[in-house]
Amino acid sequence: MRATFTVASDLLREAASRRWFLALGIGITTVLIVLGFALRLEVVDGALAATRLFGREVRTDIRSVDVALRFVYRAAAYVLFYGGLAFGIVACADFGPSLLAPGRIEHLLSLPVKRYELLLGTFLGVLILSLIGAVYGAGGFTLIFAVKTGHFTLRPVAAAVLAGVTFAGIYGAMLTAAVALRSAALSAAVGVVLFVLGIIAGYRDRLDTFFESGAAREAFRAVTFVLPRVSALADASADIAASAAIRYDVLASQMVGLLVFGFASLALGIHLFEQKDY
Amino acid sequence: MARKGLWLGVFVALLALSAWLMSRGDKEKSTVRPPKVEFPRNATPDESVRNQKRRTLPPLPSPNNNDEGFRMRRDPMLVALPVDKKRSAMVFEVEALKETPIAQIWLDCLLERTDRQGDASGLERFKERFGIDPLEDVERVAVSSERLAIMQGSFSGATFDPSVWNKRTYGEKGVIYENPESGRTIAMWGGDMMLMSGVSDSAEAVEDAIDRLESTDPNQKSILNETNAYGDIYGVLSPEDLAKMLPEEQDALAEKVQQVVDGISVHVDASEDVAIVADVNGPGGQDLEDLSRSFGAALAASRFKAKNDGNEELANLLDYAKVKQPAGGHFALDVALPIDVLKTLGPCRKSSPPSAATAEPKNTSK
Repeated sequence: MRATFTVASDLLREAASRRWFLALGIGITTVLIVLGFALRLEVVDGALAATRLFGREVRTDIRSVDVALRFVYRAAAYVLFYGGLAFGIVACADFGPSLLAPGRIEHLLSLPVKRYELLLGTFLGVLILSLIGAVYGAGGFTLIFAVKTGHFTLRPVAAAVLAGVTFAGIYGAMLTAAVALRSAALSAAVGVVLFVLGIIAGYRDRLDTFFESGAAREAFRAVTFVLPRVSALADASADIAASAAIRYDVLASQMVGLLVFGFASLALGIHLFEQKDY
Repeated sequence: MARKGLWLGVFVALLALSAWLMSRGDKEKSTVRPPKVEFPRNATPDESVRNQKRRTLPPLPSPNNNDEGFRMRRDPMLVALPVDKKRSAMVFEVEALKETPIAQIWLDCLLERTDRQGDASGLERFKERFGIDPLEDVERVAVSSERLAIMQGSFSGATFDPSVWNKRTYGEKGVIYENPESGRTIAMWGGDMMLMSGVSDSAEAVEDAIDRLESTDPNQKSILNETNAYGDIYGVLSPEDLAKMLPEEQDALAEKVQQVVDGISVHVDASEDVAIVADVNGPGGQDLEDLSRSFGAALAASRFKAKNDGNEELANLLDYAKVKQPAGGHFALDVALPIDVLKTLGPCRKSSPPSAATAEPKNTSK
């Protein structure tokens, strides 16, 4: 198990040296700094009375500051969720293939590390990486609004954690694709396909009415049955951020289900990995 | 061989487990969509047609006899309302209201409670006394702070016991009934309007209303404009009456309202959730802007207090309250009351007082 964490920490070190993640870190920090200086919020007795962005007044309704911020946090949660997933798919697609690169994999296999520990460590590293990115972005955003309005909530950070976990689920399948063909493009393509199909799967109960009842509808339901419900989790993430009512038992089931999906994909990846000779 | 198939077996088992876990949210979404509330800001086409049909009073002559042009017929109920700007008046569209989800829920609760108590409800007593079924025969009701209530509907079956009510005619179409014992005064006008005085032993309010209905004074102007007759409940509030309605801790706001506000028009839509819009009119400028902010702050403070006091019901209601930024000498105060919250209030409120035998004194101080 220790080897798994070593692989995960190696991956984090590797990520830190990559331009993609450096750019992400600088990008998030820049957005937060600009927001911090350009946004002016006037709070009168707990009500958001006026908003100015880059010196220009933004016409908003006057209402309790925490209620007004719900809309901001909801929008931010969607951006973070979908934007984070899209970025993660592109930026992390190369981790698997580089792990399996000729020369490196032979070296790794010569070490006292089991094959499944290599994949598990990579998966864990990406999970930690996505959580760090999401929590940094959401945490900074929340902190800025907390300082400017005096209203502090950890809900946007919790929403960001949900986004991170969702990405980890998808990454399990991406890593398996990388093991099968050692291609960053294929890994990214699997991520994109799962991302899009996951949005559809989240609304499968509403969308299946577009299919005629019979074989077509059953096929749609069968395919989407095993797919991660990306859009449902995005909606849940936005609702958490916006302090809306949530069925936490259902959400927990979906979240655990997504993580299990990631581990299932990983199990297939390990199976394929074990069959390979290097 | 067994080891070779181990991870494949784990894959299949985990995939099946994940599909089952994730499918739990397909039917029951983890997210609960908030209600989408439509705030009444203008008359709907149906309301415009309804208002047009109600204009049965001839138009007033022009203040200047040389004027030509189009004169609209008038809605008698609005004409009967007071003209004094310091008064308030609200109109309840009973016919529309009784079809609304919340009215039906409340009526069911009311009838259930009446059945349980084995006592005739106020509605039934009214029907027995006057021969009018408020739910069937009344189209709309207006009340004003001049202590005048007006009902419009089908009152051909209205009965007034001659041994109880003294009858006299007033004006061209008015008939006034006075009950010397109770001091009540009720008037019928034109067969479809019933006017009730809220002042004991005084017919002044109903006489004034009949005077307005039969007046041809070209300068006569009701406090409720016909363009404001939309929604299930609508009316105007005077700044003084609004100031009185504010809680004691909002004394400063009440004073500001009386200084800055010209009038408030209120519109309520109850077709799904109950949406209330209060248009606050004033001279515009910085004063009105400050007032809008004070209203926003008052709402936020009330919500905060409700939360602190553990009054979740009120806090949830105030979640939907907002003040629109002032524009053109007025700003709007929007409040939405979700039907799920209203279901637990009014006649459907669950809390019933404990019986005297079982009631125990409670220390309510904290």
